[in-house]
Amino acid sequence: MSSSTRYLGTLAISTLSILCVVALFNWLVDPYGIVRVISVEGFNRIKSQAGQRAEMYKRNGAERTRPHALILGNSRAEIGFDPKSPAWPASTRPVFNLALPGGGINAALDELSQVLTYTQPKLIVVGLDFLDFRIDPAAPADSPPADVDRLRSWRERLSALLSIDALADSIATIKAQRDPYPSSLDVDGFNPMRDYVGIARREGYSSMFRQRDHENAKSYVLGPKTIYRADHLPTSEFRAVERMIEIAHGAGAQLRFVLYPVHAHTLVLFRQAGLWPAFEAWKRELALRVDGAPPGTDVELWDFSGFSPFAVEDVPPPGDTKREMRWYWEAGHFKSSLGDVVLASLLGSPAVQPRLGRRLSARDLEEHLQSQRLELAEYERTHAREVADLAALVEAARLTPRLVGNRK
Amino acid sequence: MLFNSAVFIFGFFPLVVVVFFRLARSNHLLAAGWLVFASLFFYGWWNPRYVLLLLGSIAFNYASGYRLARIVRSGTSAHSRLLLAVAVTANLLLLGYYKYANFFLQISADLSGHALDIGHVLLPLGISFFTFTQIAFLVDVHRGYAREYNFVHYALFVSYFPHLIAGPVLHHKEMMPQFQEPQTYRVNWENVAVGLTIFAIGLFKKGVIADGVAPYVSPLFASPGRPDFFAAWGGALAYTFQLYFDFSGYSDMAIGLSRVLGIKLPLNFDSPYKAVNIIEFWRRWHMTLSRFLRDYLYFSLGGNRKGPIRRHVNLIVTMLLGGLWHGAGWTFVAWGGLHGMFLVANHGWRALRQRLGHDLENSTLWGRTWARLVTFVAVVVGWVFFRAANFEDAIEILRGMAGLNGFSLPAVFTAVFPWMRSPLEALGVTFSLGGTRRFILQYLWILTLLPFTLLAPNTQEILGRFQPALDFRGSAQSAPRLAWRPSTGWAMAASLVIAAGLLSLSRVSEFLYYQF
Repeated sequence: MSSSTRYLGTLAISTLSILCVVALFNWLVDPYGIVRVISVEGFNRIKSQAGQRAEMYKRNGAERTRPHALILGNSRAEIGFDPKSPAWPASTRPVFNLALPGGGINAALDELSQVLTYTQPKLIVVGLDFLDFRIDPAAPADSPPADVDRLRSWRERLSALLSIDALADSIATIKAQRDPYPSSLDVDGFNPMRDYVGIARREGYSSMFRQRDHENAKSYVLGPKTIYRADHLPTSEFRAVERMIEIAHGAGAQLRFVLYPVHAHTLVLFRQAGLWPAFEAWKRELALRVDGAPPGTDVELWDFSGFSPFAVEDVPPPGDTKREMRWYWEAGHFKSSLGDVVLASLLGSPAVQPRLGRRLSARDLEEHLQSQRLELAEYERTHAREVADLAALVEAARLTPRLVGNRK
Repeated sequence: MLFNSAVFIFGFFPLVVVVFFRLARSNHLLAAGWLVFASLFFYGWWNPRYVLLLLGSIAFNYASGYRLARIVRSGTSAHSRLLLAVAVTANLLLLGYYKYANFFLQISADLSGHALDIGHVLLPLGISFFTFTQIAFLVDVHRGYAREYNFVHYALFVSYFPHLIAGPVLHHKEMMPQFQEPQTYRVNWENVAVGLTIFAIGLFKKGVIADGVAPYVSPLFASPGRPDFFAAWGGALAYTFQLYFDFSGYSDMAIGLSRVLGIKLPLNFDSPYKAVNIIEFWRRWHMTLSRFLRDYLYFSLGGNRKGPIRRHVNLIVTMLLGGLWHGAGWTFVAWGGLHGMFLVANHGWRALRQRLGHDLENSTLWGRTWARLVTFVAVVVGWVFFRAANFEDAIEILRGMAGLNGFSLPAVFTAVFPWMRSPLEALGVTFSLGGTRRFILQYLWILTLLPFTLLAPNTQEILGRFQPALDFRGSAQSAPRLAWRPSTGWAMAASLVIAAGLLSLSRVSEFLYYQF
């Protein structure tokens, strides 16, 4: 045997051995919670990297759980609605949080369709976000929901065992077990935001609010998206709402649409960026569709987006790293403490008080919108300094070169 | 089909190799024909329609070369020139239609105010490469340096899959003899060992390094806004390394794959960022394109034979067209023009030093370090034009790199080093919220790759003892402590590299040079 053939033999055996060791390591650590062969405190219990492949993690989790109640939506629902909340009636447990960060209503419809292939949930809570319904004038008018093919699913599973990203995530998972504030996803899909606890204690809530307000101002002012378009509304998203209503009707499930309880800062930015009329138009369109549900469908639309005592929670001053906020992480994301209040109001649970929100219907919507306008004006009058700060962010964003539109 | 995909590594390539050597036992021409078929299949995997275009181009140029060789032998140079002009024009028209039609129509619309629309023309992969390869062939036939060849060998020379999509730009005189060599058709385990090792290094460069640093490039170039000093340099340097490791990784993979089949390809990269001047940079970066531009464009324009002024003009024209070859856009032209000016300045500097009596062959360590730094910065500035979507973006990024948009560090920096806050603020540094993790990882990549590209031996130097590529003039002496040999230790080390490369297959991404 020549030295070259010996070399090639050693190369082949050694490469295969390395790949086997990596696969075994990833399988044991299981950073995305797919196999859950072992769960050891201090080794792999906290899945700090699960968010890297949240969709796969949650799909596997939901399939294992076969939940009676389902939470769908984007990151606000993922971190705001805890399946362990006392607000969930016993008959709806187990509950699973299938909300995906950055996932719009079409992604939620995809997830729901997947779940229906193996279980029949009794209750479906869907968080709706105004910002997910806007149209990008540069994009095609309609885009079909993404197909989930079996091949892709197998590829994802293989790459969770045999990929450099999975290896890095396995190492990060082990390291994160000693981190006092690791990011992670619970087995029920809820994101407890432990990493935000660390950031808040290090930098203070003011920094987190400031950063989110800054990003929101830029996004609202510079983004190409708008709910208005001469020819039509964002049809794909509203069609997804209609499709969900049809599914709930067919499955005999309760369907609850929730407009998120964002902080007053976000609402003020909507107004300052000129989005308030679109925000109202969006609610009208939703109410029309829910009111038009087939008879016998148990569907409700709830608005938690007003200027409630929760939404106007004071933000600690800059530099204050001691004071914790009770209801919000920052202006876009509410804590599960507020999520519990929302769920209790929505589900009529006596376990959590007080009550919040309002059920919407096209019949009395205008009156509701008018009262929100008054609340907005009142908030702006009583919080002049904060409103001025937000206005400065919007003005600065307007002076920034546009993010899109000048590409070649 | 991509070299860095599972279907290529575990399906296509092993099948091609096994069938090739099996057929070669009975008939060499049949084995070469198999490689042509496999190459066309490889090309058609992307878009079957364009296989016909490639075949048409091969047939046309082969026929033109055949006819041209006959005319040259009969000694009628006027006829030969005419046929050459027709054939080269036809090639340029084909390239022009697919690559530049929309660009020129846009210019015409900008000038005249009347827009003409020919619809969206999909750029056939590798068209720049196979067109240039064949123009060189035709010119050499006209010059009497080449003759008509066997059609199968010619078709293989043009379509040979390791180089087809993104080079190296092959020359017939270095490939045709190899196709005729009987030993090419015999399994040589040393070639397989050397080839797979080079391929493994290329896969690692692409999958682990280039794709690893890629996420730190896009945010800057996708929407630069007004980037501050650190953001602008971070993005520009990340792209500098991404492009190098992407393209040199591709070239290594091509050289390695071909070596397994017993065919050596020319060297395409020789640690370009180690260059101490721009002239040297172009001898180390995309070497086969530089060679093509020099032999078939710069020399055709007169080279340096018509005085220093014409030489400088020729250099700038060559580089402007070299820029345009990379893409139909003004930023590519600007990039080429900038390098043309760098080259002129470099020649001017050398002339000045010669006049002052300096010895150009000997310089101090300080002098070389300084020269390397200046060259590197000039190259990075050039890459900004190369990568930016338009002039406005490029200028804004360069303003950021010059410090004209201010200096901003993540706010967490002051939490870790509170004593630095005041001095930094006094220097005009501001502190921004968010993006800390990205900032740290971006600069970690940069600080790791910078010494690596400036100091470490390259693939060819490591495998120098085994003549890894044509044109390679170094030897194992260039990297004595890292000289590869087929030993157990090297097999273990190579297996780590190849395993890391294979583990990166899940994030398959195209090579940057596919677009050219």
